[in-house]
Amino acid sequence: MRALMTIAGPLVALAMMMTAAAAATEDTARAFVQGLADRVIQVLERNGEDTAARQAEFRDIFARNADVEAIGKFATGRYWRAASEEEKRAYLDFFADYVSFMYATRIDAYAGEKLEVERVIDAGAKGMIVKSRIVRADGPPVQVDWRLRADDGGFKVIDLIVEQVSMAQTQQSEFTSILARNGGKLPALVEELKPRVAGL
Amino acid sequence: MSFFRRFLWIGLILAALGGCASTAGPTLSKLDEPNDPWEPYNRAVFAFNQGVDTVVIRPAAIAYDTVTPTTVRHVLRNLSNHLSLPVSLVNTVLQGDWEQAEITFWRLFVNTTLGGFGMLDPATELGLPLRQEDFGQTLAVAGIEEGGYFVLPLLGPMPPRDLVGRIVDHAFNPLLFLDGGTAVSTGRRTVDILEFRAENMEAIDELYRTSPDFYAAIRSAYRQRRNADILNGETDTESLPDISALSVEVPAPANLSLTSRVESRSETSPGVN
Repeated sequence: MRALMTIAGPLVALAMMMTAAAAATEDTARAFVQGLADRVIQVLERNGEDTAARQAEFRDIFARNADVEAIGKFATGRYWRAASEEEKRAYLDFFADYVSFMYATRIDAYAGEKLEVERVIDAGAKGMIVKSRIVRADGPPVQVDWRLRADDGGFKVIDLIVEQVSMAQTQQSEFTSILARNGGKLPALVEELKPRVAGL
Repeated sequence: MSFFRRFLWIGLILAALGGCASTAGPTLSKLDEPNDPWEPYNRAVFAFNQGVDTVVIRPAAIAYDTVTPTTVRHVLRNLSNHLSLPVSLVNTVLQGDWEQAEITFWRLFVNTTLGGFGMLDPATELGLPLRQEDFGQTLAVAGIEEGGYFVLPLLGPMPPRDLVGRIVDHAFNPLLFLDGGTAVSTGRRTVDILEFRAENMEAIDELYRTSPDFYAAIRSAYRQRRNADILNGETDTESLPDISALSVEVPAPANLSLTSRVESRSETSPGVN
């Protein structure tokens, strides 16, 4: 009996620690999204009149809380592997500006709305899915899922899924379509995207 | 064609489908390849549809949005949703989803009676939420492939599986057996289009303005929405794409991640910078 206790005791303790750890990760994922959304909504509201300042601030938040390089690599799909190191670096440098611009302009529509976190799905190696909804004053709520990747004890956003449409997936479809027309060359993609950012 | 003969016809199709139905779950569209065998034709039709949107649908949706009082829009939305229930009910049964069939049946009953023929929606509050099922989804559940992207004039994205689904659902629509049913059905479709455009006015305009390839974006978005419909809104973690961190092959700029970690300790919300 004593022997059994010596084995079982630590095992039970270990099991309890593991459930506690899992709960902590889901809770921190939830808190991460809620905190991030609150900050973004704050920024959108505060700089109501000054678009440039608002976008600069948003880009700063975005750069720190999203895995921009992972999103950029994913967007090029199967064309990534064939590109040279210099091409990849030049593309990613441009992409950091491009993607924060994109997210900023698309998220602008939700200024002044409230985000409610609903639940967290632990997708293991695929990351965490935080399901939330934006409650709108007029019209039905908007379902927004945040896909997170664990990163050094914290999280990085790797995708936003708005009403079942993933931004990463949609962007990959756009980029690979352009790449297919341009012989799969990353510099050609950058050239085609540049005027978009300038014109926004 | 009599109702009975239509029913028989559908039954035959389903019997044929039953043969190839798989137990591996529904067939989803792949998102990492265009699967667009008729792309030049599709792009031309898409451009035409976009013209129709600019000239007719968008202005009409703006007018609809301005003119129609919120309460009226609410009632119109409810009615349109209500009219979709018989087709949804048939399809949940065909998919063998008895639990959902029961929910749809009671929703139909409650909103027809308490809800005044579907003008109000007390069912949602009673735990009977709306979930629309169409024959395209039923085919996917039976294991049928999407069959390549296809765009129809005015109707928009309509790959073969959804085109067949649309035709079958139309044949089954109980409204069309009633006097004046065609007019009601047409009215409903019009409301649906205007509601959708008005509701998503900013999102669609923004996407059009910012997308580097609007056609490819809509193609992807359509498939993603259909996959979600087929999965009844559940997240299928298996089918999530790998969005993996950049490996060491490209040296990352050292500044960002470091500052974020230092600052996160002083924040109230963990990890947010």
